[in-house]
Amino acid sequence: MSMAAAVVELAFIVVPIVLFSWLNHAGYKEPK
Amino acid sequence: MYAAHFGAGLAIKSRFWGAPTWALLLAAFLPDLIWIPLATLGIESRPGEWHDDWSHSLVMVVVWATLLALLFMRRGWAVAGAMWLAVFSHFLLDLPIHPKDLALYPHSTIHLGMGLWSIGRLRYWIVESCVLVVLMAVYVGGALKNRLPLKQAAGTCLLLVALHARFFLPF
Repeated sequence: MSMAAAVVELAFIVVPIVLFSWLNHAGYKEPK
Repeated sequence: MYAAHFGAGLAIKSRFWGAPTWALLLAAFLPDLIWIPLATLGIESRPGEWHDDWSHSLVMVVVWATLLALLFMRRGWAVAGAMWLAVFSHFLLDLPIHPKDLALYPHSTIHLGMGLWSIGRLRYWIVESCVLVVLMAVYVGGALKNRLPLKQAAGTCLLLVALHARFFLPF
Protein backbone atom coordinates (compact mmCIF):
# COMPACT_ATOMS: atom_id res chain seq x y z
CA MET A 1 0.00 0.00 0.00
CA SER A 2 1.37 3.41 -0.94
CA MET A 3 1.76 6.16 1.63
CA ALA A 4 -0.91 8.25 -0.14
CA ALA A 5 -3.41 5.36 -0.05
CA ALA A 6 -2.63 4.80 3.63
CA VAL A 7 -3.30 8.46 4.43
CA VAL A 8 -6.65 8.32 2.58
CA GLU A 9 -7.63 5.12 4.42
CA LEU A 10 -6.68 6.66 7.77
CA ALA A 11 -8.64 9.81 6.96
CA PHE A 12 -11.73 7.71 6.20
CA ILE A 13 -11.47 6.29 9.71
CA VAL A 14 -10.23 9.20 11.84
CA VAL A 15 -12.38 12.03 10.42
CA PRO A 16 -15.68 10.17 10.99
CA ILE A 17 -14.54 9.26 14.51
CA VAL A 18 -14.09 12.97 15.29
CA LEU A 19 -17.54 13.74 13.84
CA PHE A 20 -19.27 10.87 15.66
CA SER A 21 -17.62 11.88 18.94
CA TRP A 22 -18.83 15.44 18.51
CA LEU A 23 -22.35 14.34 17.54
CA ASN A 24 -22.63 12.17 20.63
CA HIS A 25 -21.29 14.67 23.14
CA ALA A 26 -22.04 18.22 21.95
CA GLY A 27 -24.45 19.74 24.44
CA TYR A 28 -25.09 16.38 26.05
CA LYS A 29 -26.12 16.47 29.70
CA GLU A 30 -26.04 13.42 31.96
CA PRO A 31 -29.57 12.26 32.90
CA LYS A 32 -30.39 13.12 36.53
CA MET B 1 -16.99 -3.98 5.99
CA TYR B 2 -16.59 -0.26 6.61
CA ALA B 3 -19.60 1.69 7.90
CA ALA B 4 -20.78 -1.34 9.89
CA HIS B 5 -17.65 -1.09 12.04
CA PHE B 6 -18.68 2.45 13.03
CA GLY B 7 -22.19 1.08 13.60
CA ALA B 8 -20.87 -1.62 15.91
CA GLY B 9 -18.83 0.90 17.93
CA LEU B 10 -21.85 3.16 18.26
CA ALA B 11 -24.17 0.27 19.17
CA ILE B 12 -21.75 -0.70 21.94
CA LYS B 13 -21.53 2.95 23.00
CA SER B 14 -25.31 3.06 23.37
CA ARG B 15 -25.18 0.14 25.83
CA PHE B 16 -22.07 1.37 27.71
CA TRP B 17 -22.75 5.11 27.71
CA GLY B 18 -19.88 5.83 30.11
CA ALA B 19 -17.32 4.59 27.59
CA PRO B 20 -15.79 7.35 25.43
CA THR B 21 -17.12 7.37 21.86
CA TRP B 22 -13.75 8.11 20.25
CA ALA B 23 -12.13 5.18 22.05
CA LEU B 24 -14.90 2.72 21.15
CA LEU B 25 -14.74 3.72 17.48
CA LEU B 26 -10.95 3.50 17.41
CA ALA B 27 -11.33 0.08 19.05
CA ALA B 28 -13.88 -1.01 16.46
CA PHE B 29 -11.31 -0.16 13.76
CA LEU B 30 -8.21 -1.31 15.64
CA PRO B 31 -7.40 -4.27 13.31
CA ASP B 32 -7.57 -1.91 10.31
CA LEU B 33 -5.53 0.74 12.15
CA ILE B 34 -2.87 -1.92 12.72
CA TRP B 35 -3.17 -3.28 9.18
CA ILE B 36 -2.69 0.10 7.41
CA PRO B 37 0.87 0.77 8.66
CA LEU B 38 1.81 -2.90 8.33
CA ALA B 39 0.57 -2.94 4.73
CA THR B 40 2.39 0.34 4.02
CA LEU B 41 5.61 -1.19 5.34
CA GLY B 42 5.03 -4.32 3.23
CA ILE B 43 4.75 -6.55 6.30
CA GLU B 44 1.16 -7.48 5.52
CA SER B 45 -0.48 -7.14 2.08
CA ARG B 46 1.74 -6.60 -0.93
CA PRO B 47 0.60 -6.01 -4.52
CA GLY B 48 -1.21 -9.14 -5.65
CA GLU B 49 -0.94 -10.80 -2.26
CA TRP B 50 -3.58 -10.29 0.43
CA HIS B 51 -2.26 -10.95 3.91
CA ASP B 52 -3.66 -9.64 7.20
CA ASP B 53 -2.90 -12.37 9.72
CA TRP B 54 -1.09 -10.09 12.18
CA SER B 55 -3.90 -7.58 12.32
CA HIS B 56 -7.03 -9.64 11.64
CA SER B 57 -6.53 -13.30 12.67
CA LEU B 58 -8.73 -14.56 15.51
CA VAL B 59 -5.91 -15.02 18.00
CA MET B 60 -4.33 -11.63 17.23
CA VAL B 61 -7.69 -9.82 17.46
CA VAL B 62 -8.17 -11.37 20.91
CA VAL B 63 -4.64 -10.19 21.82
CA TRP B 64 -5.26 -6.62 20.54
CA ALA B 65 -8.66 -6.53 22.27
CA THR B 66 -7.19 -7.70 25.57
CA LEU B 67 -4.29 -5.23 25.44
CA LEU B 68 -6.66 -2.34 24.72
CA ALA B 69 -9.06 -3.45 27.45
CA LEU B 70 -6.15 -3.53 29.93
CA LEU B 71 -5.31 0.08 29.01
CA PHE B 72 -8.86 1.08 29.98
CA MET B 73 -9.07 -0.99 33.17
CA ARG B 74 -8.64 2.10 35.36
CA ARG B 75 -12.01 3.31 34.00
CA GLY B 76 -13.66 0.17 35.35
CA TRP B 77 -14.59 -3.29 34.16
CA ALA B 78 -17.60 -2.09 32.15
CA VAL B 79 -15.57 0.33 30.02
CA ALA B 80 -12.72 -2.18 29.61
CA GLY B 81 -15.24 -4.86 28.61
CA ALA B 82 -16.86 -2.49 26.12
CA MET B 83 -13.43 -1.83 24.58
CA TRP B 84 -12.74 -5.55 24.29
CA LEU B 85 -16.10 -6.12 22.66
CA ALA B 86 -15.58 -3.22 20.23
CA VAL B 87 -12.29 -4.69 18.99
CA PHE B 88 -13.74 -8.19 18.76
CA SER B 89 -16.77 -6.87 16.85
CA HIS B 90 -14.34 -6.14 14.00
CA PHE B 91 -13.57 -9.86 13.69
CA LEU B 92 -17.24 -10.83 13.91
CA LEU B 93 -18.23 -8.37 11.18
CA ASP B 94 -15.36 -9.39 8.90
CA LEU B 95 -16.05 -13.09 9.42
CA PRO B 96 -18.84 -13.45 6.84
CA ILE B 97 -17.35 -11.13 4.22
CA HIS B 98 -13.67 -10.35 3.82
CA PRO B 99 -11.32 -10.29 0.82
CA LYS B 100 -9.76 -13.46 2.22
CA ASP B 101 -10.99 -15.78 4.97
CA LEU B 102 -9.53 -14.84 8.35
CA ALA B 103 -6.68 -16.91 9.75
CA LEU B 104 -6.96 -18.61 13.13
CA TYR B 105 -3.51 -17.22 14.02
CA PRO B 106 -0.66 -15.68 11.97
CA HIS B 107 0.44 -18.01 9.17
CA SER B 108 -2.08 -20.65 10.23
CA THR B 109 -3.37 -23.00 7.56
CA ILE B 110 -6.77 -22.88 9.27
CA HIS B 111 -8.98 -20.07 8.00
CA LEU B 112 -12.39 -18.94 9.20
CA GLY B 113 -15.10 -17.28 7.16
CA MET B 114 -18.10 -17.72 4.97
CA GLY B 115 -16.48 -16.60 1.73
CA LEU B 116 -19.34 -14.27 0.92
CA TRP B 117 -16.87 -11.93 -0.82
CA SER B 118 -17.52 -13.92 -3.97
CA ILE B 119 -21.19 -12.86 -4.09
CA GLY B 120 -20.17 -9.61 -5.79
CA ARG B 121 -19.62 -6.05 -4.61
CA LEU B 122 -23.22 -4.86 -4.90
CA ARG B 123 -24.61 -7.85 -2.97
CA TYR B 124 -21.84 -7.34 -0.43
CA TRP B 125 -23.01 -3.74 -0.03
CA ILE B 126 -26.62 -4.89 0.43
CA VAL B 127 -25.59 -7.41 3.12
CA GLU B 128 -23.63 -4.67 4.91
CA SER B 129 -26.69 -2.40 4.62
CA CYS B 130 -28.81 -4.95 6.48
CA VAL B 131 -26.17 -5.29 9.22
CA LEU B 132 -25.94 -1.50 9.46
CA VAL B 133 -29.70 -1.09 9.87
CA VAL B 134 -29.70 -3.53 12.81
CA LEU B 135 -26.72 -1.78 14.45
CA MET B 136 -28.32 1.65 13.94
CA ALA B 137 -31.54 0.41 15.57
CA VAL B 138 -29.56 -0.79 18.60
CA TYR B 139 -27.69 2.53 18.73
CA VAL B 140 -30.79 4.73 18.44
CA GLY B 141 -32.65 2.73 21.10
CA GLY B 142 -29.76 3.02 23.55
CA ALA B 143 -28.90 6.63 22.73
CA LEU B 144 -32.46 7.85 23.24
CA LYS B 145 -32.70 5.85 26.47
CA ASN B 146 -29.60 7.77 27.62
CA ARG B 147 -31.40 10.99 26.63
CA LEU B 148 -29.23 11.94 23.70
CA PRO B 149 -31.27 14.52 21.76
CA LEU B 150 -33.10 12.94 18.81
CA LYS B 151 -31.47 15.32 16.32
CA GLN B 152 -28.01 14.19 17.41
CA ALA B 153 -28.95 10.50 17.16
CA ALA B 154 -30.48 11.19 13.74
CA GLY B 155 -27.36 13.10 12.66
CA THR B 156 -25.24 10.14 13.70
CA CYS B 157 -27.40 7.79 11.59
CA LEU B 158 -27.23 10.16 8.61
CA LEU B 159 -23.46 10.22 8.84
CA LEU B 160 -23.42 6.42 9.00
CA VAL B 161 -25.52 6.22 5.85
CA ALA B 162 -23.29 8.79 4.11
CA LEU B 163 -20.19 6.76 4.99
CA HIS B 164 -21.88 3.60 3.76
CA ALA B 165 -22.35 5.37 0.41
CA ARG B 166 -18.55 5.48 0.16
CA PHE B 167 -19.03 2.25 -1.80
CA PHE B 168 -20.11 4.33 -4.77
CA LEU B 169 -17.02 6.54 -4.70
CA PRO B 170 -14.20 5.64 -7.06
CA PHE B 171 -11.71 5.28 -4.15
